[in-house]
Amino acid sequence: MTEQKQYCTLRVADLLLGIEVGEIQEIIRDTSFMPVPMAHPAIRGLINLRGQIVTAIDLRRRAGLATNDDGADYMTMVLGTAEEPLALVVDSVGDVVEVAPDTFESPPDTLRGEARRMIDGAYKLERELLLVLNLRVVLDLRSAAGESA
Amino acid sequence: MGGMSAIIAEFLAESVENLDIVDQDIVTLEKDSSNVEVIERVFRTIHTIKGTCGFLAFSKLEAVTHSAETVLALVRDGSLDLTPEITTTLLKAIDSVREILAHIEKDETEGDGDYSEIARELDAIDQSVAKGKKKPAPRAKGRAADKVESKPKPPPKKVTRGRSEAVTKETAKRDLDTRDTPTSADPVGPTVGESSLRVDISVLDQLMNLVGELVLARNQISQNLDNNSSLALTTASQRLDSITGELQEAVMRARMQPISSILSSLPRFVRDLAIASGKELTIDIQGQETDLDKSVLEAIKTSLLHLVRNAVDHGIEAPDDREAAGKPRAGKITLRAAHEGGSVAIEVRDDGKGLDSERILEQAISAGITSPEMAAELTGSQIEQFVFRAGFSTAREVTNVSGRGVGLDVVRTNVESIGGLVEMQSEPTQGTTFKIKIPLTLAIVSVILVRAGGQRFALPQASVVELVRLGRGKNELGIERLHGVPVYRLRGNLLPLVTLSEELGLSSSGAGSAESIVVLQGDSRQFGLLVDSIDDSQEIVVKPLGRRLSGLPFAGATILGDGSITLILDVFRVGLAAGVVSDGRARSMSADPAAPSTPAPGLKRVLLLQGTDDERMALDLSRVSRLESLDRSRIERVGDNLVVQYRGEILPIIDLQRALPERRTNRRNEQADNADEASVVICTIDGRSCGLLVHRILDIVDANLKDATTGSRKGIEACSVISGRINEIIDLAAVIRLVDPDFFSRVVSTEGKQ
Repeated sequence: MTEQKQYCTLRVADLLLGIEVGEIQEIIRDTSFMPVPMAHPAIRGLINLRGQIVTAIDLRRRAGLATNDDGADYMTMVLGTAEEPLALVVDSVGDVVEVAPDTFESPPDTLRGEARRMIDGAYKLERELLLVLNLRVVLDLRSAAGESA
Repeated sequence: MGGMSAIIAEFLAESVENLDIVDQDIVTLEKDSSNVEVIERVFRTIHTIKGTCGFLAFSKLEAVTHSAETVLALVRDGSLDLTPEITTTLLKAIDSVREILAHIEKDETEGDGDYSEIARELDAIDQSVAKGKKKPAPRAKGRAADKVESKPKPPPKKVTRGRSEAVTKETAKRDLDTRDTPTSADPVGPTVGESSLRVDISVLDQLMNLVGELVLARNQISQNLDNNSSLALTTASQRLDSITGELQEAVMRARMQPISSILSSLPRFVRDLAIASGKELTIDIQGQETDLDKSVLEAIKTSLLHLVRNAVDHGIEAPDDREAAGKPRAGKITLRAAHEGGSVAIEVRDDGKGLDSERILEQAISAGITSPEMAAELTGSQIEQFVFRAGFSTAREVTNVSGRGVGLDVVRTNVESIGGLVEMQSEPTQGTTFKIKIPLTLAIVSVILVRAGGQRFALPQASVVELVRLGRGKNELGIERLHGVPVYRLRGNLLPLVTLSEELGLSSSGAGSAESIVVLQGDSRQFGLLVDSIDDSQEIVVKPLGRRLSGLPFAGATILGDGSITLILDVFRVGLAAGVVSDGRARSMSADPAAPSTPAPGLKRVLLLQGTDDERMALDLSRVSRLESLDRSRIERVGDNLVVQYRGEILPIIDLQRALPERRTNRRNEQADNADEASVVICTIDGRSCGLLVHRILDIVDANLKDATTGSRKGIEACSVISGRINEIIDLAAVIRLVDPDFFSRVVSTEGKQ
């Protein structure tokens, strides 16, 4: 009855976040971004994915978190299910975890602001909470305030 | 096509294509029913459909095609002449066939339409002939032919223009025969042989992308080659280089289609229009072999049909009127396609009555687009531009054909949306010509690459007028600041400038780093784009930007040879954002105010001014005789009034900011006051001149002052929204009276020399 769900884990600042595995097309390192002037502040730029132009959204900026230093590591997750080529820029990508739906809880109260809106809920892992990202909210930039935090 | 069986899918594709040709052929036959090759081909197409649908168990379709075939057999045997009535019936039958085919495509059933009526009509024709002749010989002959031909019941072959080989040969022959008859609008010349193949467009798109990738890979290889590389590798790389180039070209060619593919329905279309409108028409199609990218073709198809419909409905007169005017009874529509440089020009010309300016004007006034006073000053071409407005129609009543007023504006929007433009020329009694200019392909655009603020951008070559390189220092005619707006004096005209890096919010070392000006055509107005450098021109493949990047001044993006992404600038939006293109209708700010330039219809040309508090004001341009930039020291004070010696006279100066009653305490713009130069608008009123000292002159635009609201302070006539901002319209006489109540009553002594 209770189906196990698989989440790809990723880190942004001190948060452990999860995206359903099926949503992710691929993960790439060392991408270079072509900045788009006057675009929404959460848009890191465009990347050339084998001839396809992908809009990359910086999850830190999107969540209103402090931006990383220029030299900091990042990874780019290309999303496979969006209506147009999109990617998320995150600090790092971790393992895929399986969770049981019955451990699902509402998001912790400590989350505030934009970050709170982007989280569907949390799974209790052994050591920490896995926050499940609501991609629909994350990718909807029209309602996002951007770097307002 | 979902789960549709392959055989049905192919049957549909083949039949639909052939029916287009049948349409034309029947129209040709109506004029000359003795053309054996044509009748054979029509017969065979219908026969093939009939045969195949018997095989696929589409009984309704079979019934209609069978009846149509019988009538065609009579025509073929010469026992029946194609009268207009019979032609119409046949075309109706073809339409029914199409309808059924469309239904089959939808859900693989014939639908519940009742087609027995059309079958009966066809049978009636057949019977009338049989009665008249009594001898069933032609029928028998037709049957015999059936038997022979039904043997190789051709399963739908994978042949574009899918005809059996015999027919193809005949087509070729017929093409030679009919080439010189202007009405033979045969789109499929012998150029497309049986060697062609039906390919899904998505496969071509994919090929195109892959070739793009290949180009990138090739570039990476050649960049990594150096002198130490082995000869073999170098040679291989060179071969790779040339092969990639050729492959790219071939794939692009594969996407091209002759324009005839969308024009095949025209002769039939025109015939139907002729019958519907009671006019006599001929159509002449030239340049059918002109190749265009598939996507462009699809985009302009409806626009072309619309222009033809428009020509019939509005251009071509009734036969009697034409005769009275000394023209042939039949109106002629000429459609001509040709390559013009990097684009394709398509002309739709009619020899009708031309545009009726008076009627258009009358209509424009009653629709509130213009007023009778303004109308008196409009030029012919300005009046003609009205027809491109939404909701505009001069048809006296809405007919089936047109008159709903959604037409030319849609054509224009459609064509412009693919980067094309529409022009119109009209000559009273001689006819009207519409000319559409469109890029060869949507996918490939030639651009120039520029650098600004450390980033590279692409500018569509089509909107670039010229490139100007700024001489460093030595060029005295460099960038000037006229009333705070950077301008460049280009052959006597002032070209407003936009600094690209500033406009895009990129860090730059200011306009000083700019080396070049790209002169751009933004709608009807030119402006200069200041860029750091101009790199190169290149053919690029346009890729769309995601939805999250809409609303920005970019038309798309591209991947250059080195794998980097470059944004393609939307010239018009850049100009609009910078305020140098104002709703697109104003002309280039002319250095000579005497230059004849009339505002667009319905609009008033105004001079936009900026107050010290950043508020906007507008002044009727007809009051303005000159714009001057005067040395502040020249403005002298005489009593309470400011004056300046100007052209040997004493010109009273009114400081607009001080003259108008303050609404609140102004933080005065110190910088402006301390500037050495003062912007002065020289105005003429009641034959007298005065100068208005303003903070900054912004622009000359055409504004619609119709919906202006009353002004809220003295000296202001009204408030109106111009270029997206609220502007106070200055009442010049009132402002002068505020400063100098006696101005108008004094003896005229300082009359301005015009």
